[in-house]
Amino acid sequence: MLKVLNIKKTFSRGLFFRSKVRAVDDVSLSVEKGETLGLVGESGCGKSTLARVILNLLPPDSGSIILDNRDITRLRATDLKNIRRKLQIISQQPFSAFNPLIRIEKSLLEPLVIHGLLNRENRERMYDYLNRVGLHQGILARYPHEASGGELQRLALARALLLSPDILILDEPTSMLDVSMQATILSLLKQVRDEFGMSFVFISHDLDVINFMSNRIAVMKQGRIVEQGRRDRILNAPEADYTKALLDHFHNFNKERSTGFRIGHDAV
Amino acid sequence: MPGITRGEDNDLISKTIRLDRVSVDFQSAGKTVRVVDDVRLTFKEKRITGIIGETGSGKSVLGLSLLQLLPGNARVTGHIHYRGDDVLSYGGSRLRRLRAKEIALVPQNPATSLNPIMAVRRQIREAVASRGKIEKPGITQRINTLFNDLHLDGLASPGAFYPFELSGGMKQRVLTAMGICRDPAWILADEPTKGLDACLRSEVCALLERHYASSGPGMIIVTHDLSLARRLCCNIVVMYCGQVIETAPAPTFFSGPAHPYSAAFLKSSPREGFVPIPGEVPSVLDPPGGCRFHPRCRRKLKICRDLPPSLLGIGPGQAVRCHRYA
Repeated sequence: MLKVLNIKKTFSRGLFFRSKVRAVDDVSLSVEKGETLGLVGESGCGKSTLARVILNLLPPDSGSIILDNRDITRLRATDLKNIRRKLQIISQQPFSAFNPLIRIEKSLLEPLVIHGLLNRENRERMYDYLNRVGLHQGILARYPHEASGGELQRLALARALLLSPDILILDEPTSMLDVSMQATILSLLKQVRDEFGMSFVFISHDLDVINFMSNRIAVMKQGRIVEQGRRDRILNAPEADYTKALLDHFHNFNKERSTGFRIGHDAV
Repeated sequence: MPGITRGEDNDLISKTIRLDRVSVDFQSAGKTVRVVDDVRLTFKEKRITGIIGETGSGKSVLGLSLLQLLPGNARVTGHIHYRGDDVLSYGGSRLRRLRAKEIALVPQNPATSLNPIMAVRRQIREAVASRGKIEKPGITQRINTLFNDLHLDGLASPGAFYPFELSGGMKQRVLTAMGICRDPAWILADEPTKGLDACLRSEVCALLERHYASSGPGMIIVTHDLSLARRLCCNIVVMYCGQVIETAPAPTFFSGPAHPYSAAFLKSSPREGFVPIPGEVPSVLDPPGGCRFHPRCRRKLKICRDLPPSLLGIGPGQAVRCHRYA
């Protein structure tokens, strides 16, 4: 369904002494219908850059993105607009995903306006989706600053669903949220995925979250995919050294306490 | 050294922080909203206390009230006793000294806590220098050691780096460094691992551990990261909707939390299978009557709807705000 072939993207910094950072280096991936690909890796490894390239928000230096057997990497603006309806993103920062100056209802309807889909039926669907994500209509009249991070993240999901996308790219959708809200959002995402038969590209640095959500996992390091495969294979029998290190790091942190670190315990 | 405790009567020498009926009210659109409600707590010196709770529970507001860092429309009442004084009465240079040398803040939100138009190195230098009595070469050396400890060696290379060139994790580590470099008696860390990946989280955590092991400051860690709390803290304070609903020694808490909310909160963590807590986080604008958790509580009694429970001691160092224990 979605194929990413040999994508490269380089950024440069500095005015006089230009240095180049290879953010995405020869990455190939594929996502089938109804499947969730978990993309895991440490901060700064190029996960989000890759997401932006897939969405055509950043032009790649080379390589191509194939959606339904069609190369969407170098499309004209009008064709791109049709593609964008099928590819939606939920970003890490719920607060920057909403225009602070307009009411939430307008923000939710804006994609429909842009794609010329604003009609009564779709308005009804908006109320319906709002219910589905566990929010009341009262929130529509509010401004983003009057909503919490968890509410905004659910609104972002409702907004993306309104366009009935085929693929949803989730860029660390819960890393800014509380554990309890994270649990709520993740169960909601699973429900929605199964019901609408959507494909997810789920980006996270949290292996527990990746494990909970994905069918397949790709591990990224410094712009490269070091390993990809079925979830259970990656988590139980990793081959790449980096994957092993990542798993170790993760399991160690969740152990009770590191050795050699003792603190006194007594009554408060 | 960890392990030594002093009596409460020794307030002048002891660096224990004692909160006495601390409430925080915000004035908003002509209405008064109570965000922190009647908190009585003791943060023992040289101990790591974790304040955990969901967004909007008032945990960060409580933390910031110690340093009078709340916005102008906030009003803090009650007393915060520290070294024989009420720090809420501090102002001017005493307040500045408190913030610089006694209780150092590691702020939340790395993206907005650094000055965007000032080189990172200069900002760290400012923090190091605020401690006073260090010569210039000493400062440079100290900064380089800090960079090393934090695996920020990249920043030590020539050329000025500005915050926008740093990743979120790097900014968080810079802020942590700025907090601990002054060797304060207390470190108040507001969500020090929010948004960090597993590797960076263990790095920041290890940094706090190392600093604790070498200098032994008291720490207050405001967080919703339960694995961090489990790893670092001696004592746990749980806040819900502006109130302290449970305090307990960490091992007791993690092996068997007393309050139904604490239990549900632990269950929602990844290790326990992401079980969501039913219902919505109540707004402090309009807190539910009776027990504030009763609309979401699976174990509620009749009385919970009508009567707000008070905080009851149920064991050594353990108190809970729940009718089930009355």
